[in-house]
Amino acid sequence: MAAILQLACKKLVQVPPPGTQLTSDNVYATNATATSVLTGIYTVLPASSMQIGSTIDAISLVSALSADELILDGGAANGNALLVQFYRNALTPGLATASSSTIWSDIYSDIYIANVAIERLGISTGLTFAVRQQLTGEAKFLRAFFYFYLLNLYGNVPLVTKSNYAGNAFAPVASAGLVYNQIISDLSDAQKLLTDNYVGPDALSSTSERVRPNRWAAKALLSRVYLYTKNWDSAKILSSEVIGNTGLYGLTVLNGAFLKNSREAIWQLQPVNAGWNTEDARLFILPASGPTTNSAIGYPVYLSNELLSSFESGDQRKAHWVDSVIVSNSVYYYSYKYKSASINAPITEYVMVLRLAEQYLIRAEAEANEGGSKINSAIADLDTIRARAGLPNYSGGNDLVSLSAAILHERQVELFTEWGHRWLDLKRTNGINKAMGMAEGYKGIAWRPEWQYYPIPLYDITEDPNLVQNQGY
Amino acid sequence: MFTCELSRGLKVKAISYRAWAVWLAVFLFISMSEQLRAERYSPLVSFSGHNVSLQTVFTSFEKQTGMAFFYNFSLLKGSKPITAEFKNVPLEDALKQVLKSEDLDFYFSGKTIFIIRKRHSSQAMKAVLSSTSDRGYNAVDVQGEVRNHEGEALAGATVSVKDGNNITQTDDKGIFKLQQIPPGAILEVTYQGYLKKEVQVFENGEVDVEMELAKNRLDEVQVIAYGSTTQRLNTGDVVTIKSSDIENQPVSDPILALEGRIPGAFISQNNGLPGGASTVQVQIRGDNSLIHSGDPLYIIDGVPYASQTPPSGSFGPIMGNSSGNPFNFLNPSDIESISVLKDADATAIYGSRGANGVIIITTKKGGQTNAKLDVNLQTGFGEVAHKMKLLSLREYLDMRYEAFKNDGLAPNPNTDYDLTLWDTTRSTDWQKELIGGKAQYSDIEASFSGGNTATQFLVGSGYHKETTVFPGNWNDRKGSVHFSVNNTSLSGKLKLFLSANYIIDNNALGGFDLTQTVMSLPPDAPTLFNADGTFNWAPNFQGVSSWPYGTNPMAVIAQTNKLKTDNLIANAVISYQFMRGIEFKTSLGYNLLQSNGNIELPFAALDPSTWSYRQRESRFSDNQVESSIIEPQICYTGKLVGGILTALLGTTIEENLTKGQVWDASGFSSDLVMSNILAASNIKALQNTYALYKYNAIFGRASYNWRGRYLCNFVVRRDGSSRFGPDNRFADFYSVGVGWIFSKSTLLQEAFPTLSYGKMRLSYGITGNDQIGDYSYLDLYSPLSGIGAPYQGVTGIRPYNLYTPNLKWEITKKFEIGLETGFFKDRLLFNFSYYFNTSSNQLAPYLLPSFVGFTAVQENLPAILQNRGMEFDLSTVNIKTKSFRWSTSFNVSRNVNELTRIAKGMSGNYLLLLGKPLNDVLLYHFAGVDPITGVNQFLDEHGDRVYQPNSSTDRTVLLNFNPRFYGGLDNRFAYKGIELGFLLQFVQHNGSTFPYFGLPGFGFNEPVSVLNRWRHAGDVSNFQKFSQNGSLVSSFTYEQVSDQNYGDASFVRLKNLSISYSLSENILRRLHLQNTQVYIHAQNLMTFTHYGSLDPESLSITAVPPLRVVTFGIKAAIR
Repeated sequence: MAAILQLACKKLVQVPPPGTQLTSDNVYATNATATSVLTGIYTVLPASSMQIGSTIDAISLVSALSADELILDGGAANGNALLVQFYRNALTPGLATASSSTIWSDIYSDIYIANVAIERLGISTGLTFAVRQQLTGEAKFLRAFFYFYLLNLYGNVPLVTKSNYAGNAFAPVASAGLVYNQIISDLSDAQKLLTDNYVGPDALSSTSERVRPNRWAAKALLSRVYLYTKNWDSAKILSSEVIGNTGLYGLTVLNGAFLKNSREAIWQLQPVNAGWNTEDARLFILPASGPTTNSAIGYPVYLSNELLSSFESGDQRKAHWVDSVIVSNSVYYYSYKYKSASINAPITEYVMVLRLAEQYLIRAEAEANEGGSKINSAIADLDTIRARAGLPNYSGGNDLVSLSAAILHERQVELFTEWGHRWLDLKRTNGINKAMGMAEGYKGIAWRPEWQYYPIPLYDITEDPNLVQNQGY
Repeated sequence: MFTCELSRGLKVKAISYRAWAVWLAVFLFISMSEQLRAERYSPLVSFSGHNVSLQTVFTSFEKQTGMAFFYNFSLLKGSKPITAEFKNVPLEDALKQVLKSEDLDFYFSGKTIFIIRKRHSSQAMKAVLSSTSDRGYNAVDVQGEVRNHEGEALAGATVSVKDGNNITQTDDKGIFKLQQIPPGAILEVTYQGYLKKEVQVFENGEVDVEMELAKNRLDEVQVIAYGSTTQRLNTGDVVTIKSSDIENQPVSDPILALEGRIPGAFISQNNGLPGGASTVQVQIRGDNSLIHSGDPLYIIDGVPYASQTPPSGSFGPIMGNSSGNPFNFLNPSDIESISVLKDADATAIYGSRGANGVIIITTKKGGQTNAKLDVNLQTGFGEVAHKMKLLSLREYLDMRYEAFKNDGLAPNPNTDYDLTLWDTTRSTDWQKELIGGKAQYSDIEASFSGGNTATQFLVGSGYHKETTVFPGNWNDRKGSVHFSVNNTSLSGKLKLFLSANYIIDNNALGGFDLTQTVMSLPPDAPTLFNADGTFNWAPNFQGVSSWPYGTNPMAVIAQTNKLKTDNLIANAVISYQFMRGIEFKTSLGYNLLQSNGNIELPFAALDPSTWSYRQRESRFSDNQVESSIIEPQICYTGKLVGGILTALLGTTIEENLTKGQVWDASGFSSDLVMSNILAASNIKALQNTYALYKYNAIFGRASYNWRGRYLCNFVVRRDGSSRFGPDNRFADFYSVGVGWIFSKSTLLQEAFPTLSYGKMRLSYGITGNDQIGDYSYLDLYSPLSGIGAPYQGVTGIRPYNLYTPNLKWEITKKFEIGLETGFFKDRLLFNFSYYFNTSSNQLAPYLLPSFVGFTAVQENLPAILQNRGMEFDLSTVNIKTKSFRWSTSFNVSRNVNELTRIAKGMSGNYLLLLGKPLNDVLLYHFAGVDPITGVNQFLDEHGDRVYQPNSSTDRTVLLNFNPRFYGGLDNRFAYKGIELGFLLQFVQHNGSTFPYFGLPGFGFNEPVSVLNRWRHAGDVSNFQKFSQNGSLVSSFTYEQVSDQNYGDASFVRLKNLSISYSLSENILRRLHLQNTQVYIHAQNLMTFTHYGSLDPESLSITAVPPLRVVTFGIKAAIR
């Protein structure tokens, strides 16, 4: 009797999950809902206003500020305290409102979603095989992409690959090698799992929209990872495969590169804010009134002289990818790679994450380092990029030092204000102290080498006794 | 003196529960042994008198012995005068002596001496003394009828033989039967809400009893969980407010009528807006939950009612359109009573929902009277009672110039419009202009009611309209209908009760509370309107509006804000008595609260210079809360060893569905088409809420009342809620309450003859709190909101929390001891209760490093929150003559909240609060202005003066925001037809006393206190120098979170004043009217406080304070 009562009562307090929401139990039961989870990650990447500096898409802004590409209007007196910290390289780990902690937690919350996805897709039975393959590939690709940035921005990070929060909560900092191994393993898997073509929102049908990663995106990112880990041969092989896929990819004219689904695009993010093209354009393109220190108005930055003066004369990139405004006799230059910044303009541009030009420069650098017979093909790749910018062929020395410097310089003027390339390049090539020493004057700082890594959020250090703060904080 | 008392009282907690039990046993023993003794008790008396009446003799004996004589006056009519003289003779002998020549006899019963006719005396004596075991007398079978003053049969009245063991209850027709009762015995008849009646049994065995309505508060009906009782017989702590108290207060939210009247319930109004925009905070005996809702459980006519409405989206602080106050959708005049249930005994039957107390609202019902029409018309006004003293135009301009001088700068024509663009000779009192208006208040109520023994009905209808103190025609209008029907079958066994309340609220309030703007607006700000009546945008040289925040404050009147709410509360109770004492009852309840909103932001409300890049925007919202409840119950009433046992077994099946949507539409081509969502070029869903809550329980209650002396109440509930993980949905709750009415003890009656009522109560039990939100244990994936252009055309989804199947309810263990006393025939009633509540299993975030994906997970932490306190309640009838009556009631409560245990994983702030009240706030210690620099200084942790204190180490001052004590003093005077009542409410608490709108020196007006600022080196001041370049912003910000910003905000408020004049019976008869009166009601009439800011109750400078409302009305009943 009691048992019957008990059972009856249980039924009376059972409620299905709300019709408006799903749980991890049923979300991976169907193709559509499982795909929507990953679509959710792509959606949030370009969704936030970049100047808030809290999400991963803000890397293009904050890393450029930390490096020597952007000037923060008003410097230390700028109303945006968070940007001041990045600009002056003096990050405070403790303040939740003004630190690097939001990018960290933002990325890790996406990693959590990827971890759950990888686990659940592995055991899910309700999905079409091809969809399961594609989504697992996307989740692994994304996890690798996130860890690549975490590692390069923070130096030391805990490696979390499971969703069990209780088990993860005491994770220690993992060595860079371990994290790179995970990244390489994820990207290698992704390379096998992802399809050759780009897929639509069903993760199955083919589309011309280059907004979900495919096999080539995995190869392109993996070639970058090999370059960073100085595995020259693998870097070269993978970038060659991407460059060799001329059916899909090719260099475009400068003004066509950042258009949506351009032939140069390997992976782009579709803007999601109604009426607007990219958030990059909204942030970087200055109005006639120029930049402003008022944190409520979104034009805090302009290009630095360091960047502007590094363009060779005749570089068409300065003509096409840089523009300026004049306010009270002062000229302010801004990044003009994305050109559409007015409301309700047709959507013509997507946020570029991986593009072909970088692959040429990766191959050039890998071959230069391999040396010997590869030097010439390295120079040829470099010249391909220079030629598109209207510049004459490389005329410097064939030695590794000169060539490396030329490639690094080419990366600076090709990839400026894109996804932290400059900041990361300076660090991996040990050029950071020199470059930042030169920026000390205009930033009003005394550079310290430890600042090349952002501090681990104090919050995480407090909650996880096994974490150790980066040096210098 | 009071606080001293308290500190002593708080030590009570040290005495363990076991000690209490021992005490209780001792009390019980004493009182039992007394009774045994009383039967043989015959004190000595002396008397000397010549030709005096028997009555005089009895009175003298009463005085000497403290015993009472009970007799029918007619018995003494023929008695002869007495001449007698005794000295220290036993009372029994003395009585024999004086009665020997009369046809009278007597017997003792406890402390009463009954005088009866002689021929029955021997049997009667025997009967009483030997009780029913001895059959050697001519006992009779008694049959009688119990009716009330209006002749209605009273079913379920208790009839017992005084000092005997016979007890019974009347049936549905009010008839009772008792067998073998000695003639002359006394029957006690009690019925809830009526005075106890004693009647003597005569030889014919027929006894008809007419009961009188209790005027005594102790015997008035008190609604409790699943039933009713009286204060006298209640083992729990329940306070009831009657419709008369609610009617005297011009409030549109009935909960506000409780303010200052309920010991233990702290109620405060957060703003003075009408129509659900006003939020009312209700906290019964402190905060039991670390982070979850502390709202009590509300039950209206048996139907659980939401304490919050779902949010419906807004552009900003849209009044009545954000999460609103559902009590606005209830007509106060439809309410018969509101009961506030506080302790475990009263609340445990609500199981997992009763931890924060329960408020039961009962609506009006018809009576067994001729049909009558009650009409009540009321109109009046509301206004802001207190204005802040702000800088005058001259002082403001001087402040600005001084700030520029201090900064070494000159006003910038591009930004400092107040000095360079506006007319600096023109001054406006913005408080008068924007919140100085009079809100209209009108209310019309009519109800038609009547009935006979079989059917009673009531149909009522009301209309209520309130406007605001702001300029513009903003208003809230309500129309309501209420009905109730009672029907009893001919057999009296089958009964039906049906009631419904329906209200339609049309909220057309503005989009903004202008108060915020008002306070900071410079006195020389431009006129609101141009000469042609259009908005004055006061463009600067670039054509952009120079108003602060770029908008004319009155432009909000061009916005449309409409919120229409429908609320239906319906309840049916069907009961069937299938055998004597056993009744089967089912209560069915339904509530539907539905609202539709439409907000429009047309270009007319925007600065024309912004039109090129702004969009017209409309929002449409549709929300509803629907709940249904079924509660079948079996009730038993019967005799058990000389007492009455009442038992209840029931089950609850409840379902509650909240759902809603908010749509944002933009891109309209014209202001005129904005109500049509089809005219928008871009539509996005802002919100989609859906929550289903299911609740199921089995509950039982057994109450035992032994002769109105010993009371015992036991409650159990097994309770399941869908808000928790599958394995943790069920839990058991229980409570035990005992009461001892010690005033019935002879010993005490002798020792304290003035004591007319005394009861000790003790209760202990467990209740829970499940107000943690629906589905919170699930790792829900929700669609991303606010995405205008979905990625690849598909809306992405994302998880927002971790899966936590182990979540359980929070548990509150409540202990209470209460003392209730009445003196001078209950003219003075004094109650005291002490309670000690311990809440554990706290659902709170367990912090995680953010790299696991979330920064916290909800868990039941072993943290403990204690609330302990005392409540005193005193009511007296000071003067009571034929034409004048003055009564007073006073209550005061104090609650101490303490976080006594914290748990691992809790946020660091809790660590600092250990051993302190939960909502203590950590502040910097302000150290005055540096006399040299004129900049604020603070003490750091080492006691050194610094300009920039460290937030993690230097916040050394803990300030408590809980009220230290609060209460009310109510006085009522009645002289012939004139009645006057006033309620003084008092609260001692802290609040922000530093009401600055920005750094003094900026382009905001400021309170006059800033004039005491530092000016020259060497000045000693608590106000730093004026500045406007932003260099002092941080020291100003630190000051805002320092002890300089906070202080005493205690107040005494004349909460309510009501004066009425009832027309005399003579006039009324001629007009065919009844109970007709004219009246004046006033709310928040005066406030006495040192608090310098706007209002000490709302403690806000951004919200319009609770209004002073004065209404005039007339009330009549037509038969």
